[in-house]
Amino acid sequence: MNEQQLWAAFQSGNEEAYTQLYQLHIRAMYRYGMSLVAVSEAFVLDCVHDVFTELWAKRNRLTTPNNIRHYLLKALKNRIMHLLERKERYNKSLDEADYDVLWTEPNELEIREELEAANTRQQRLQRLIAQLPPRQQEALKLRFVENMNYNQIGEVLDVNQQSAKNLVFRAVEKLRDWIILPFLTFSTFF
Amino acid sequence: MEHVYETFLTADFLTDDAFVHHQLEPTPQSTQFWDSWLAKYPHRQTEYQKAVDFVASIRLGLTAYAQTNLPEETILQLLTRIQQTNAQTRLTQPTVRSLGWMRWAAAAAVFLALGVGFWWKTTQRPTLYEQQLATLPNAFSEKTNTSPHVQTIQLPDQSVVSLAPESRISYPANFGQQNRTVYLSGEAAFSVTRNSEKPFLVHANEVVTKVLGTRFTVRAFAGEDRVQVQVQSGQVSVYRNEPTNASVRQKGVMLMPNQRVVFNRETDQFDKMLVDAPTLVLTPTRQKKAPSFVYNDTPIPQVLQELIEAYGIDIRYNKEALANCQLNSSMTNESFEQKLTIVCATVGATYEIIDGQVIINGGNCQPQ
Repeated sequence: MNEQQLWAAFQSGNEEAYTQLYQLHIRAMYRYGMSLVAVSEAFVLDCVHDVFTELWAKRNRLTTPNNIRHYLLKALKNRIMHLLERKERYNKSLDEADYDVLWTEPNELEIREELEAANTRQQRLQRLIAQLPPRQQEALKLRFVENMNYNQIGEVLDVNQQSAKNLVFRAVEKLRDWIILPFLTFSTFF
Repeated sequence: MEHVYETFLTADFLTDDAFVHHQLEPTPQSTQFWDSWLAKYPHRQTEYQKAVDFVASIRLGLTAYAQTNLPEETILQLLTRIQQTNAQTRLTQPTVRSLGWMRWAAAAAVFLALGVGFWWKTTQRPTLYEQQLATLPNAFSEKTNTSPHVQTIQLPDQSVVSLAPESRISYPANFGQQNRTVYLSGEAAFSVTRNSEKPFLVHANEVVTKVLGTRFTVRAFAGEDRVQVQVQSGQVSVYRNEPTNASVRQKGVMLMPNQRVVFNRETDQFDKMLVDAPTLVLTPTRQKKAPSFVYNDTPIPQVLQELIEAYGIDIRYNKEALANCQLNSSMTNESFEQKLTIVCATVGATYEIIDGQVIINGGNCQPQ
């Protein structure tokens, strides 16, 4: 059975299919949820719980998504944001885009320090990615790990397709600068 | 469409869905497409290869994210929780249970036996409010405030409830027969008609607030980890809701005006304190006009006694040490805490608020 067939079976009340869909996507939902709110694993698991129980309750009324992974991650993010907003409802939180504005770009020295603190190429790359604004990091994860297209990334991040592309484009340009910069002086790094 | 790639640079490839998708999950078709494309445009080979390397670098940098580890045990535990919730929903719309379900039920039993699932208790759905409603006889009235404004509701005994947005309140059909019980999820302020024969009880999450007639506010949202009760006038008692054991009322707290209690749902404890901005209270015995709080050579104990009566808040201090102190000050517009600060500054004392009372420490005056 492919995923679409599993989905159809789940919609007709097949619990085995429902469980298989859960098993197929739980890890991706968990890592994506944790990258959004790393502070509370219990909270992320609660939200996954809510997404799946709501799917079950509404199974008769659902359409078949084109990309089930994308559908589930989007539902998870909605749930997380919904709960976070309710918690802070007297105190409207900053818009996600606001954080990117506040993000100060690391200078050359800081980048070198990050690189020198790492022992492996993987660690160096990880540290560089961690220097990017949070939304660019999120876009990278969705594009290069979850394999979502830019249209889908836009839906998850609540921006249009072009903005989603721009986020990845800026991240890529920045990373390339940072990789080339030490390459000129510390060619042993890469 | 392939011609657009002719001018592509590395970054353009990286923002192209077809290219990235091929790097992550190549299919025979995509492999064929890119192979023939490269054969056709050999001069783009370098840019293409840089882009391929770059995808590999980004993915290497995201390894930690991609491999975020979720133990099998947690996965099964969560699945069991999901299935439990689904089983409860199913009660209203029965369907045939498959063998697969039985397998998970068995797994659930094992986890229960191991005690691993102990933390479900705290996250279990439905909410306490819904569980409490389920125990009510069939006929009860419920009001839900889905509007963004506070709604005013009158109860059969003429008591008035101001219901905050996203809050629900319900009461059984026999409200007022023996006592007056309501169930609250969310936040509401109550102005309760006095009737000492029939106590007024508010059940909100784990907490019961009991009053005879008074004005007070209860805040108990299902998603919040605390329950808060604060008193505007009269007095209320607040205790943990444990129907099996009537003696627990001793564990509750008595609230006076301008006091509030916060029940921490995690530690299961009450914490009594003052409301943020204490206001003047009018008691049945003291309906006279509020004092002016203007003092000329007034003995400090007399000032403090006026504060105690005006705000209904107990203030403890060393009567002997402060007996000879006097105050010259006009504090008509100052808040309760500002007044305390002025008094304490005058006599060189400090104050703290413990358990809903004010304690003044130190202070001294030479006899004049």
